[in-house]
Amino acid sequence: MCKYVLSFSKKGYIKYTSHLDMQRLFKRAFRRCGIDLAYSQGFNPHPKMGFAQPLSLGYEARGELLEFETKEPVSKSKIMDELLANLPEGIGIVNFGSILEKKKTVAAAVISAEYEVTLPFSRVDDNIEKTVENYLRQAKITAFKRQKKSKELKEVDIRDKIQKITLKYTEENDVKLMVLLDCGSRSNLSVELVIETFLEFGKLDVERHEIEVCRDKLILPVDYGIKWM
Amino acid sequence: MAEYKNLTVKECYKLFKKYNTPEHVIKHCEAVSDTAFRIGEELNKNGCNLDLNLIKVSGLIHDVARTEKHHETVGADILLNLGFTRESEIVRTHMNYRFGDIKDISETDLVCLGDRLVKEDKYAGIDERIDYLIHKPGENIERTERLINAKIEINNYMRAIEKKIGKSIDSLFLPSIDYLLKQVEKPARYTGNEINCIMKDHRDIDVAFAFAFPDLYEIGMSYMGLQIIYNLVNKVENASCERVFAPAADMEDIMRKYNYPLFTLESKTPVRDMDIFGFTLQYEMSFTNILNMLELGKIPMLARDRDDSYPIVIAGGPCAFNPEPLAPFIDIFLIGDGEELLPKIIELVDCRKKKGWTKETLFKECCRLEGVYIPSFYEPLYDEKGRITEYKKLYEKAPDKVKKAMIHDLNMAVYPTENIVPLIETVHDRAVVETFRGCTRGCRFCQAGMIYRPIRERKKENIMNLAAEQLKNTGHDELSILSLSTSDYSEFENLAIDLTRYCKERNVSLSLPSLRLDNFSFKVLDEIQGYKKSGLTFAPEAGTQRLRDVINKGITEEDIYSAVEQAIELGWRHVKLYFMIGLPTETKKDLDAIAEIAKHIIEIHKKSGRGGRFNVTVSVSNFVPKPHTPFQWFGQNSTETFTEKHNYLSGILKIKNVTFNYHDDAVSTCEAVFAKGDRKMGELLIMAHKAGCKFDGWSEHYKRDVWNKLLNEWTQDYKFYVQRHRDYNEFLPWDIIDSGVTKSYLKSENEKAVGEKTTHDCRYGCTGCGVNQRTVCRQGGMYV
Repeated sequence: MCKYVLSFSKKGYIKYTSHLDMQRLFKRAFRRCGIDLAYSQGFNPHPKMGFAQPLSLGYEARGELLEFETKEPVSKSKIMDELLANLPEGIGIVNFGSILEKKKTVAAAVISAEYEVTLPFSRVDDNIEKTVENYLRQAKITAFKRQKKSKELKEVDIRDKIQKITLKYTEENDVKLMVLLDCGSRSNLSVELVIETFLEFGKLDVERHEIEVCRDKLILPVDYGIKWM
Repeated sequence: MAEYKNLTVKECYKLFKKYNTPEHVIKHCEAVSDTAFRIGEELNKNGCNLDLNLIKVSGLIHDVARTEKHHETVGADILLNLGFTRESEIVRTHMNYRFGDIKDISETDLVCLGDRLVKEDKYAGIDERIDYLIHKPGENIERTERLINAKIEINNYMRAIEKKIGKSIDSLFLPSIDYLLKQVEKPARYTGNEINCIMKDHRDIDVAFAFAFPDLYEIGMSYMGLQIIYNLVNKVENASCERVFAPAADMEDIMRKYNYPLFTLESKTPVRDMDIFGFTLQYEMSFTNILNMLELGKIPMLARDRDDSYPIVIAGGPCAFNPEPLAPFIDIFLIGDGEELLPKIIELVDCRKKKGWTKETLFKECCRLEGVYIPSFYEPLYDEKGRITEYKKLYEKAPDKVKKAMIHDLNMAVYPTENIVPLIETVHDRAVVETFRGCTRGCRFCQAGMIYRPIRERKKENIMNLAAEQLKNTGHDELSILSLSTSDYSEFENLAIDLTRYCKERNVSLSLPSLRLDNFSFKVLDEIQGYKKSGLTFAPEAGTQRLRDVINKGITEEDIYSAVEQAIELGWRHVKLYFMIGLPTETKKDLDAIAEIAKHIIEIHKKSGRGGRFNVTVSVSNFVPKPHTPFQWFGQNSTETFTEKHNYLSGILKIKNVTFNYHDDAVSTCEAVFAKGDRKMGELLIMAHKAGCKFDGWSEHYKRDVWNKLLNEWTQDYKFYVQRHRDYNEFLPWDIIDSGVTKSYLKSENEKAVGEKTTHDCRYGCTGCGVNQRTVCRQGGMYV
């Protein structure tokens, strides 16, 4: 068995493709370019392939991780050229490597994620720097998270899961928040809760659909064994 | 070379102040300036070299003297005195400007165009702006005509610009699609961008065809005909086919809120700017969606309200075999096989554009083609009771009767191998190969079995190749075959064995719909990897053998019971039975027999001694007599009769482990209205549309009370159309269409039905339907 990971980006209309649909999309792309994925054993065999973390509908991304297993070794060019040609417009392949790690899957290893949150230029004033500073200075940030089972809103403190927020200005005068959050099975925070609490805290009159979110990268522990090709 | 003095924005505002230009005029000027500037900017990106600043200031200053009489002259003189020669020239001509050739496009053209596209202080687009002017006080025919002519001229000019900039002018002034998509569910319904989706640059094509499926993306994308048409049209080098679906309610709300016009998935072009807007008519209950889509596309619903600048609205598919209920809305109906007809229509539309034909000329050219029905060339005449007596031709060369277009050999027809692979889950998400078209069984209630005649099989080798190609190009892991009756394919056993083997080797699951359940089928089903033995489906359609003979459904109780025995033996746990009620000659006995069959199947399971969970589902639909079938004269049961029958069946089907489902009775009444109606239904459809009816085929969207009210308030008696048994001599609304099956055959089949006599499958000898007078029935009589 050969274990690989590829890092890909998502830009444009393809950002409206959900996590589950992305799985089907990659499965088909592998089929089309003739890469035989390894299948699980059992009554209902499924290909061994999965994303490190689901990405919300509507988010762009610059470095998502997909791990997969094949029966035969796969060359870098097969991935960078042929697989890419079989993916819809908007998906780019950033990097490709083999997984040396024996113990953990990429999904289990991810520790944090960095997001780029673009606020509409016209609605942000000069105080934004101060707002970020004060927002982070709070000892406790209360957000409401919908419970999966009961569907009820539950109060949670998200402060400890926010590692860092910095501001970035672009040439087009956009204001971007660079948000570094806990991510993964050990501790996880949805950037949606940060956006929600931040808008409220800063009393910003911005609708959610005016904000663009891009997940810049998923971060693995430094000693996690990937050999990038 | 002369030196020009250039006006600046600042100076414009000084002039406004000096000449007391009213605030609302300044607002208007700002909008014109902005509109002209933005179009100019796009043109410059595409190779033009316009002076954008001149456009900006001339647009801004053009109405500076608006309060004066002959304001353009007054304004121009002011500018001239100040030495702004070029600005002055533009202002002077702006009231009576004629657009020249696109090759010589100038700053003046853009300012004047900007002025024509702005209504008060907002970009409105040409339709809305001209419409506003037409209905301004003092409306008169002469003025209206002048305005419409001006509109056509401006429209042509806009198209020429759009060809250069590769997008529509309207689209420059809308919010981004992203802005809308972020606010709706399943945005991927509207984005296109799937694998194998074909994007053609509008600058490289001559005919842009919007292919509309009047239902949600998930439904439309499961329809194989869409893939066929898409592939077919895109194969025409200078044409593009782009898809349009009915937006879901949330998207529709947002589109209306932002005044965002219905657009195609591929290039996001508003349908209004396409050359052809074509609908596929798969079921009657999608008709209100057609009206809604026209409205969302900002296209007048009624064909007679659309001037030559609008796209040609066409429609085809099974419901086009009675085109009349949609006649007021559609320009051209295509009857029969689209593969045959559509490319020819596209060619004519191309011709029209190149030669500058009017719509009327185009229609006249089109109606020379077999399969084309132009409703505006006919006027139905009625007798005092409201029955049609004849269609009066309004254009003498229009055909007396429209013969359906036909593909004579399916092996020669183009079939897609690079199907679009949806990004989101659709109803059927798989590779599909059509094995044959038409059917030889002759079930008397079945419209498809009549209108798709004759039977035309695709060669097995051909099917295998198409399947392999499709699987390779799509990456699908499911394959299905398509026809009206899977097992009737003449080489079915070999085909099934080969396909099973092929799929098994590739981890592809094979789905074989509507199998006739004999020994062989069970063997195949057992072989197919991953086939879940959950449900086994039968469609006896009627409870007694007598009634099955009436409808010519060649299935016996013996067939069902022996198949069920076998199925239970092989571990099936669920049997699903389909029946129709309200069939001709039906009595209480026939309903009772439905329960008997269900009971008997439960008994068989008990006797088998296998125990465990076992279910029978009885699904009952309400018979809707369809045009071009032997039962076309038959009056449908009333809604109340259906209700009574449902209640009766609910009572006798209270059997342990039997589930009873039935279709909404009121929907079936509506369906019949639009299946068997004439041109007067247009009025009813408009009423329904205004009352907010859409997605009527969806039980959760069907507005029962609204429809009920509409049917009763309508000026015509709907019962006259649906419940009345019609006379053989009556001229039927769809008699203008010739399906290839003769009326005398339908009549004799109806007679035989009443006499409870069956007609054999025509593979065992010709039964004389008449279609072989127009084509060769290759499989007809093959077993003789």
